[in-house]
Amino acid sequence: MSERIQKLLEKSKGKASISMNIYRIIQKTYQEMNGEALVKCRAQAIYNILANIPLYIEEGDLLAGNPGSVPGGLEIDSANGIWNEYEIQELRKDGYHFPKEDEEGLYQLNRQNTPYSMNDGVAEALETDGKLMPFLHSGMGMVQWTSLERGRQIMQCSAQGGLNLTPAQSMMILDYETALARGIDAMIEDCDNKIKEIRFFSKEDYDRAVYLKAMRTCLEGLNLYAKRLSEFADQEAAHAADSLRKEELLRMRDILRRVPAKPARNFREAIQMYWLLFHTVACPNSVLGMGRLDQILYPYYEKDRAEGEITEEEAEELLENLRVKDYQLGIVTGKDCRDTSNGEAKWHNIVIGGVKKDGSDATNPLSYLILKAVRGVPTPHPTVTVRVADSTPGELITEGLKCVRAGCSMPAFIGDRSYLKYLTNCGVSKEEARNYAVAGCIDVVLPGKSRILSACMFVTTMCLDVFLNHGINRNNGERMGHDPGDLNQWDSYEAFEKAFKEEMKYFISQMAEYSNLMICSMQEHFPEPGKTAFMYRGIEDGVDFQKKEMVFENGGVICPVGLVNLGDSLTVIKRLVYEEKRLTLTQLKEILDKNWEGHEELRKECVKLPKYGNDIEEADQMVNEMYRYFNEACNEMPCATGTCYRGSAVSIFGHAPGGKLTGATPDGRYAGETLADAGASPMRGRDTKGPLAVIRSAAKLPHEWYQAILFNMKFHPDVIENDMDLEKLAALVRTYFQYEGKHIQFNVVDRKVLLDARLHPKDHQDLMVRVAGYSAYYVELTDRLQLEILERTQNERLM
Amino acid sequence: MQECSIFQVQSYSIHDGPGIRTTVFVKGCPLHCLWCHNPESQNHCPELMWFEEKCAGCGSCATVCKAQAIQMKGKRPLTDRIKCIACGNCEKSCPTEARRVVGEEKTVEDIMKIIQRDAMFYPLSNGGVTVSGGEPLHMPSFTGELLKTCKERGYHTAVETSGYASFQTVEYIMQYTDLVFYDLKALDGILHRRLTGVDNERILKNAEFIKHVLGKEMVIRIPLVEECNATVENIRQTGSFIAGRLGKDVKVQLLLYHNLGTDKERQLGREGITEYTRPSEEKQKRFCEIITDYGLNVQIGGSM
Repeated sequence: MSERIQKLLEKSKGKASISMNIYRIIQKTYQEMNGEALVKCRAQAIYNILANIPLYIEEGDLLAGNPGSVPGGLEIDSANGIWNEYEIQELRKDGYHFPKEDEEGLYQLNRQNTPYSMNDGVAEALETDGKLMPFLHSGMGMVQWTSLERGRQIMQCSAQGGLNLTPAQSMMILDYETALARGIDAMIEDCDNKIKEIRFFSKEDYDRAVYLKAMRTCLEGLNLYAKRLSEFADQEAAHAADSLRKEELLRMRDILRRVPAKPARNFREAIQMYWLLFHTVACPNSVLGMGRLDQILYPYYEKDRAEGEITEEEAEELLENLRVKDYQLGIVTGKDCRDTSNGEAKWHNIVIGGVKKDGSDATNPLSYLILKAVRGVPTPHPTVTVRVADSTPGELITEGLKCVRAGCSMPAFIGDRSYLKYLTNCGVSKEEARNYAVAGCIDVVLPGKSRILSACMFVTTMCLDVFLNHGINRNNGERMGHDPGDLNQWDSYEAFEKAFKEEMKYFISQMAEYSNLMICSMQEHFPEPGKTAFMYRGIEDGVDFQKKEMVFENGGVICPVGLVNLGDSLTVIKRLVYEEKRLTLTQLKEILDKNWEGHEELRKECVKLPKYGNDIEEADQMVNEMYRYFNEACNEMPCATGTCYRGSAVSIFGHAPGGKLTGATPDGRYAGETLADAGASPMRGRDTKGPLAVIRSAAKLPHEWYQAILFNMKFHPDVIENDMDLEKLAALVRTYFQYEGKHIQFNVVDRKVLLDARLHPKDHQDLMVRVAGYSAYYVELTDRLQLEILERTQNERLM
Repeated sequence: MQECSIFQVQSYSIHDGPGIRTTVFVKGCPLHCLWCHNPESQNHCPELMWFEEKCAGCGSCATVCKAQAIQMKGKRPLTDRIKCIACGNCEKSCPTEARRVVGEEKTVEDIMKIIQRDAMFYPLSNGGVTVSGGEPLHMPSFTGELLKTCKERGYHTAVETSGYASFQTVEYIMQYTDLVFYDLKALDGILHRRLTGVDNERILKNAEFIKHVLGKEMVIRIPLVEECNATVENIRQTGSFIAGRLGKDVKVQLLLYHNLGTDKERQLGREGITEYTRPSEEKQKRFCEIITDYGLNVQIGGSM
């Protein structure tokens, strides 16, 4: 990392300051345009932000344009709730800065023209005593609407980096490639031509005309913003004391005179334009994909290298700069959300590797440079995901593992075989499928050609809990499901499973309904003309990307949380209640109600019964069946986009709060205990046969029907100590993907984790360490040995 | 079907040969090295291990013991190792998993079931199966049949051995072995006897036999224990033997002593436990230089 990047990074750390500049601009626009067409208001607000946002260029920065109006600034967002006095106080307590002098102005703006949030749109369709309310009260869909009023403020409020409008929660990737190759001027011309072509014979023709004009306004805003930045760089250059810096600023000025209006011609123009589009059009949005960066930028890099226009070091510095810029793009939400559900997390995801549209291997020198930049700027985001195809060079995987070894906790690895099979299963052509990337954690997205409008976490274990409890939510006593009647009525496991699955499907349908309300709220109240221009046939069709059918439709996604616990629990029920007839289902339910109290031996026995993660058919097939059924049920649910719901096995962060809501489960889990994380990872401590058995279990899941199946593995740094070890781990990754696994990522644990493992061994049962010639679970080692390894880790750090 | 007492089958074994391997540890060894890293591998029969830090002192083991070998002394179960028949009753009854019987009679078929599952990881990593111990050449019928079955299925095979066996045994096992990890603990016969309990004459002859007559790929492993064999003299003699008698294409790995064995000795109820140390880094460097001077390729640690 160069000194300038180091300095930029240092400045970006620490709690940010919250600004209301954008909020002011938006509110002013809406007041001025009171009553005008919604899409026109939204477009004008974007234009006004780009025309008026205060500019600055940080010392040493090579990329112009910032996601907020002050360094490290988060801009108050208008469509996710309101920042009231309580929230501002809490924000300050948590170390964020909000200028005292802005406070009164903020509350005044809130009162004057209370912003309309996405959840207001959802609440629009609901009744206090409506059919969906018990489900929303329960938290089974993770967001807990304790009441209708409270629900409106569910995100409570947020502040994010980025110059577009909110709510903006789609997992999506803009079509950067086309934009970079054509330039904004050409896109504006397209808009003009399309507008001229329209003849008015239908409502759609009218809508299109209004929409295209709005799009044009947004695009003009982008050109204006670049012009302002260019002039600003020119002024800064005039004041620059240092002649080198002056040159850099003048170059920045010249680049911005060219892009984004005209096509990018070289690497510097391309990366500047990419960043510009990213922070003005794509952001704010915490679950954005950054696309296949090595593919987007490579034509420019290749040309520059051939012509001797740029060195590898210069390109690396720019990529590192881009990492720092994205790192500065923060998010902060309201107090409750911060405390319970990772309110400060962000999932910007860069994809590298894989294959090209023609099927040939896509890895190029930039793929490696992007990994190098990860090590140079080891910030937790943006994250990097490596697409591993059969043709992917082994070196790319081992270079990735070197980042993991260095403690960067990235990249993640995903298998092309599985992703391509999934997409073609969903009817996408091979050629289109090969261009896939991921957004959010690892959800599949076709850049510009698909978008996930809503991804809901759904606590599957709660379904069993409520089912056994005769349809009553044990947390609030409310009826939320059907009463199955006598629990001993089923004379075979199959009959019981059938009844349970029906009920689970009922809950999934409620999840889909809620999700549809969110999608409708976005479609109806939050048109996105700016983004649509950069999406598939955006200008050609003149229809908002949230409303029209995309090349690949995965508009609505449901993420099952705790399916592994559910499967393991059903294995226990099958064995104890129906095969061995040791106790009745009613008796088991009563024991679970008591949270195993007085039945510790039975609980231990339940823990010892076959569990997913040990390559035991009985247990693995049960979990597999639950996955299969869950996706099938999702597919039966109509999505507001006109297609169906799809399953995505990423628990995101739902396993902790989801576990908290679920009572004791038959797999031996206590009430409130955190569920198994991710999609394919076994429950903590229930896998006892080592990593290969876990992988074999994971490979049995129906990967070809899932958007994503997340799989985490933890390793001690010793397991990948030398480069030969890395190659073995790389072979393990490849093998998993050859058997059509979807995703794998490694956690290399350090001393801090080991120390915690000594204090709370129960929480770290899956922590693997390499002892000498073999590997073992850390918590199973003797006290002395644990200490020895602890010492060793420390020594490694010193070396 | 051949049976053998096995104390562990390690999947994702990465320091026992090339690629991802499954390492099968047989129980029973004719040598008794003072520093043994795996004391539970020495005796052929199953043995009880007791994990003091896990024991709650509840006494349930004493009540279920068939041989009446366990007596509670306060909260401490004392096991009479002579009476103990390692039946495993106490293991089953223990609520805190503080007792475990190591060593279980397994057939080649049992082991092959595990190996065949792991085998999906061999092709892309160029991995395979390693038989270690204990001393695999001490159970020739089992080891031979296991390796033969592996070869029939096309898996790469390796053996970790002290080389203490007859020519016939060596010849029999080697026909199914691709790679041999061969221990040389001390070159001096008297020293070797003091450290391991056996002569090294046969070991040295077997090394030459495997290399020159049987033509096998060989890696020499030298455990380094400060108080036992980590002397310049021993390393010189060993280097000279390898370079002169085996050949300069033989790779050498120096394995540093670690004290894991002493924990296990305690868990096995052994007495008179001695803890050794590993040679200093300076010394390790010196040893590497000595071996390199003989024109040999040397590394510290077993990764490859």
